[in-house]
Amino acid sequence: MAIIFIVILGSVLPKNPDKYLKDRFWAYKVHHKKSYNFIILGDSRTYRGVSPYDIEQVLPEFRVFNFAFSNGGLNPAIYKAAETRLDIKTDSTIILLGVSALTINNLSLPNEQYIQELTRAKEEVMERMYLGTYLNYFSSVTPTKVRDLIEDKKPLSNYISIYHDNGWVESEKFPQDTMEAMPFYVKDFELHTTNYQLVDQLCEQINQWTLRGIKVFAFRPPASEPLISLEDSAGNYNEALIKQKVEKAGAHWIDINPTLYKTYDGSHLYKSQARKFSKHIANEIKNSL
Amino acid sequence: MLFNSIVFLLFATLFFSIWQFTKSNITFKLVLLTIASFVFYGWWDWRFLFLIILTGLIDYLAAIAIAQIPKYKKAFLISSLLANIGVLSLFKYSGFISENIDQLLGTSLNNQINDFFLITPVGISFYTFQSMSYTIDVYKGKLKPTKNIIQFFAYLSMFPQLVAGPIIRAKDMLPQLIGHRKVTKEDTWEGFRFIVKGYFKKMVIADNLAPIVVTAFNNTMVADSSLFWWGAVIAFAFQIYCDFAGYSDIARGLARWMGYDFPDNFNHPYISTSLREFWGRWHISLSTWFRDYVYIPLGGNKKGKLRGHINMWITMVVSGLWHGAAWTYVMWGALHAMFLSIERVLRFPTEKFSNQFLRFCGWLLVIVQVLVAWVFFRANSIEHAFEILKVMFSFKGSLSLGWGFDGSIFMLLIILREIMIYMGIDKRINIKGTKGVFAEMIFYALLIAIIIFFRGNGSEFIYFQF
Repeated sequence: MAIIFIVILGSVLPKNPDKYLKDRFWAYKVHHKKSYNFIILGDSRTYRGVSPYDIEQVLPEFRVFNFAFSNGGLNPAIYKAAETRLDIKTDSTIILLGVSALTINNLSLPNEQYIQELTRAKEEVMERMYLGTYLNYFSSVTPTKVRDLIEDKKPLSNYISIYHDNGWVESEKFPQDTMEAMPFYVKDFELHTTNYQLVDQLCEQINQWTLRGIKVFAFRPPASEPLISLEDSAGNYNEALIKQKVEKAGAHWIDINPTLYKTYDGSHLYKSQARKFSKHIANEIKNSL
Repeated sequence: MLFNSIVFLLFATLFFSIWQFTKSNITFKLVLLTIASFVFYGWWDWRFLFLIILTGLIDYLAAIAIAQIPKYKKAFLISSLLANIGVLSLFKYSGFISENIDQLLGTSLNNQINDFFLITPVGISFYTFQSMSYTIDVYKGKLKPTKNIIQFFAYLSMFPQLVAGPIIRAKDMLPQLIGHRKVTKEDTWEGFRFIVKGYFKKMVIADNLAPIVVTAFNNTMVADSSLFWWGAVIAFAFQIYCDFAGYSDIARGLARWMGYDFPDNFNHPYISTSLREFWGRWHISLSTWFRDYVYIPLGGNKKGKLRGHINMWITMVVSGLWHGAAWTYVMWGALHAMFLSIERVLRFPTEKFSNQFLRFCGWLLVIVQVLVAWVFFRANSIEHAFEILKVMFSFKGSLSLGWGFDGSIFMLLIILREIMIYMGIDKRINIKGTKGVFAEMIFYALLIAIIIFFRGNGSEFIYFQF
């Protein structure tokens, strides 16, 4: 009898496959054991904006993994984690850093999303990694969703994210609103601006990596012009100074023209733009190898 | 391991598959139960298994010594109590005590405590109390100590109730463990009912009310609306009730499947018409524990009225502290003590109202007192609690309870259920014969489907932290 009810409700009630795909994506990103010879670090601008597929097309000798996180800070916790993913047995290894203002300020210092995934109970990790697809049938719903179903209200799904095992999130959002992300940045920068001690710490790490033969590349993730100016002014992000410090430490800074790439919210690239941008990055790296 | 996790479902399936084969082999049963319970507990953090084993061994040996060397029985009892209270103090209260000393004397004791001792092991308050009651009962001659160490550890670590109760007395459980009782079809069905009801309370009601409570209490700014706060506190009252009663029901059901009986731990506390009645219905195993091992040994109410009040205050404050190492819990216990004292002096309200209006007034008064006390239990600090109470009793702000459509549905479900109990409607619904069986079957099948599809975001059982 219970099975009959479950089958009926399971078939009728709305599902939320995005949740399971998203949960699996983050669990996989943190807990899978594969190693790579090209690791990308940064925040959401980087994990939505840099596609490993396109880098691999240009640099076929590399296995690329996007190890960036929401509010992902560039600090020792993530450096250490990245190193465990780096295949040091290969001849050439690369670390690519997406250095936005938010990656080098105190707000992202705790690397909350990464730590949350890392410390997740092991059974929950297993559940998210292997059972998500099946559990989707048993997606929980709220009375509101049932009411919407009865009233035939379709949810407005204007934000599409496709999660890839290589760490990239292919994103689209309609309609475009390049000012959407601005209030969040304004709020963040009111509390935290670029911490140049973290930049120095990053340089120290770059120095260590380059001494070990790891090639390091860095770039400023593209964004809309107003957001770039906000980052410069309110976020106290001095690109010239950061570039100088990073290059002095041994990394190669890839210059970006942010206006060449379209964002859907002022901060994150459309998937087509992410692919274009990734190819540009890959070609820059190819030229300097 | 959480009852509401896939791992537990696998664990329970494996356990009961093997349990079927134990039949009348008591030793096999006890060994299986003990090992399974250790795995269940160790799944959370195996390092803390040593605590159960250590305090268990001390109490096991102390009880035998009390019975065999009566001359020193007091010394053995004191050693056992010191060990239990010591472990509890070290792991649960060291942070709280040192913080307060630091604030008072300007020292920095708290920084010197090893982080390991600042982790409160899951269920420590439950199993230490259970263990203490064993040696106390042996000391008082109410119970003969067991020499079977496996039997003792099977009792102490029994997984259904290990981390959140109910607190089972050794005199009730030890005989059940060595006796052979066949699990009948009725036991299986009864256990199933307990388990389904338990999961419903926890996963559908408590977990769906949790966001309302978290949004209200975790916000740094106290919302400026009386009705909103009354709504939040009522939501918390039902969240904690369904969370804890749900756990107790699941524990009772699992025990029934093993052929054991656990006592009722909650009996619809929110329909009480006096606080005295409330405490006879809320967390019954803990209330009776405090009555038997704290209140009565202090003299109860047999040493005069004033002493009776003092003893009750001590018991309630200690009970508050048992729930957590913070002043908010102490305050919660003290508030209940104060309300109980007033009730005792005024002899109002009482559970024996014949007039329906007076009964309702009594109920209303009790519920307001309980809700006010819950504010302290859930608030982040005493100051936070007073701020919330100030808004609650200022009768201002928007006319919204803050439950939203989803929260209102779940609140309605649980409130309707309690109203049915209060008015005795549930007793009048009695479908006999085949129709009754069929109706019950549909009811539980539907509950299972609702648990699966309307579960809230899974979270730990609240009482794990105590």
